[in-house]
Amino acid sequence: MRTVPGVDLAPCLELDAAAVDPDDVGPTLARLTTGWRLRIVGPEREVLLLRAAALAHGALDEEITTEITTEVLGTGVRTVYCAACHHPFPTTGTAARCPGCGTDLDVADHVSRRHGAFLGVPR
Amino acid sequence: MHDLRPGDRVRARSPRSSFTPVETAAHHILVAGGVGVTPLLSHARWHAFWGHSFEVLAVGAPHLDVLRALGPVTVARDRRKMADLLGPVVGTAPWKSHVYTCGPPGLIAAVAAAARAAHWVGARVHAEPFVAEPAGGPFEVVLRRSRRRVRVAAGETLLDAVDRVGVAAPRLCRQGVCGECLTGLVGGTADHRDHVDAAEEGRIALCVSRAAPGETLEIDL
Amino acid sequence: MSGATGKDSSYPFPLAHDTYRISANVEPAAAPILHVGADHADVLALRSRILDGEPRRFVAAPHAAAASWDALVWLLDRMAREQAGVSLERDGHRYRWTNARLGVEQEFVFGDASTLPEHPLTFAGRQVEEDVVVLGARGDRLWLDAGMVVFASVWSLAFDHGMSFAELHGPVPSPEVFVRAERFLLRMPPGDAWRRLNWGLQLDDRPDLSLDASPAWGPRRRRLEVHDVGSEVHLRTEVQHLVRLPMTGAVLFLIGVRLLPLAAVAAVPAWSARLVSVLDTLPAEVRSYKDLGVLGPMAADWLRRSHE
Ligand code: FES
Ligand SMILES: [Zn+2]
Repeated sequence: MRTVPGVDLAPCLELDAAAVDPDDVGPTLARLTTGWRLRIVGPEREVLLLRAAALAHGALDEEITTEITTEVLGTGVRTVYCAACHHPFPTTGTAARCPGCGTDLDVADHVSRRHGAFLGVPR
Repeated sequence: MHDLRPGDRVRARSPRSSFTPVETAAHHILVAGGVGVTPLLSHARWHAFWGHSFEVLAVGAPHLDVLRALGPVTVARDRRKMADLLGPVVGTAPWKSHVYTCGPPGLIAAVAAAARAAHWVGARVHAEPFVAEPAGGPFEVVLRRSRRRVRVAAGETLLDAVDRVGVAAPRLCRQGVCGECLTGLVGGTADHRDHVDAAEEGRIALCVSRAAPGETLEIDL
Repeated sequence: MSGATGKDSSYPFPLAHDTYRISANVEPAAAPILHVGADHADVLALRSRILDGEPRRFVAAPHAAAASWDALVWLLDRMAREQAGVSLERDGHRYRWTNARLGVEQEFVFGDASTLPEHPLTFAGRQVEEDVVVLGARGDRLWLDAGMVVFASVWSLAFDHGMSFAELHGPVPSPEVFVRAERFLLRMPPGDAWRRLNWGLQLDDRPDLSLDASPAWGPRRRRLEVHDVGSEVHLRTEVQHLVRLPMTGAVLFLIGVRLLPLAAVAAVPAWSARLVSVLDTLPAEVRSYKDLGVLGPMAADWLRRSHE
């Protein structure tokens, strides 16, 4: 976590998605004043999860920038949210078996910023 | 809507979606100038009812005792003092704050400037927009296929006028949104008021659009 | 529990034209907004059963509290206006709610969660046939802040919770229609109510086609196991109402599901002809979005043959 100058000179907090626990985002943000920006950097899966936590704690889209360091579609690890049992789990590729309920899922192109996850549609 | 209290039934004329309290806010700053205090009074009642954190900055506003009974109020003696007040309040506002201004344009601009200086994004800055109802003067329309000339009265819609003379025209929403009533515009310049970009297709939304001042329209009906 | 038979002249047949394109197709709502069918009690019992079995058919963000109370009072007041044996009395913030048909009697204080046995949305959602969604209005956008949805059509409330209107409609062909619809909803004056109809075909009479329940209905649908098209394949009409809630400016989205077997569609020649025409001319992307690649032609052929 470090402070960096933001685009329009707004104070900006940079979060290393690989290092920051999403559970710590709430208390961290609560110490800021309105006007701060967030910059989240890291692998796609962690960036999405951290952004989800920031949104849940009241950050607006306009206040967040992200930089994904490793993203190659279908090879990066992403979180899939099983539509059948609501279990989120990490996976690669476009199909997966849910470890929660055993359902075979297709990974849809539908992302929830709140879950930081892609929709897993039972096939 | 001005005396809105939780639990009250209201019927308002125009939507004020951009001026309702933002429920995700951690703190609400209400800036009232003069009689602009009225809508903010209902905001303050709302926040007091739900136990939200809020504060009021007022300049030249009545009903201060009512406001003071609801929560913290800071009064500025004049506009310049208000400008001095805004900087620190906005600049130190806790994370997840929103500011709402109701008052003369100068005050709205001053609040926007203070918020910008504190690097707030626009989505956290709200002002009561004073939108005048768009004027609707009378005009004439030629219905090409029915070979009729119809006078559309002030305050009457093109769709009403067509109905009045018994020419069938489709419609659904009557708000320029669904696109059901779009009709070919063959002649004249229109004042397009729809939300479906009828103009780009050379058509006109009968339910909301009118002739530009001094124009006569010809439509494919 | 189809909620409609061929003799039900009140069936909201959803197709107004011989061709179908995705559009906002909204019209002013007319009373009654809340449906009470012959199988009302069964529908309500099923709604409660699904919710109790799977609590995540209900979601509510903490910031949706006020809008949920707003929705509760609007729904109860609406029921009281439209239905017999139902009343809502008010004294300041204190309300007394009586629903004689369901044997529910409840006093509550507006905004005080401790005065209701459950969340305001599920309290209301168990007493209406419609699924209930609260879309909060913030930053010129609508957000899915809360809802009780047990009859979703191939979506999941738990997954969609917290999405913006645009995100919700991401998978729909012609998303620009929904950009306009959102603008329209945000301009709605408080208290306004609008209606739109959506439709689809399904090969059973399950109202619950949620993704959450898809292990129960998906396999048969994929195998397209149909023995008797006329009685098994159903037209699914969703009667959707959009209401601008008076206090919070949130949009209350109500979705009522009405199922009609194809045999009953065939009994009304005008409906049958229109559905055939729509299915025959459906654009490819709509056909695939509604999953009608095989079911559509199958239904059209059956309807055509039934009139020979
Ligand atoms: S009736 Fe809907 S756009 Fe005119
Ligand atoms: Zn699962």
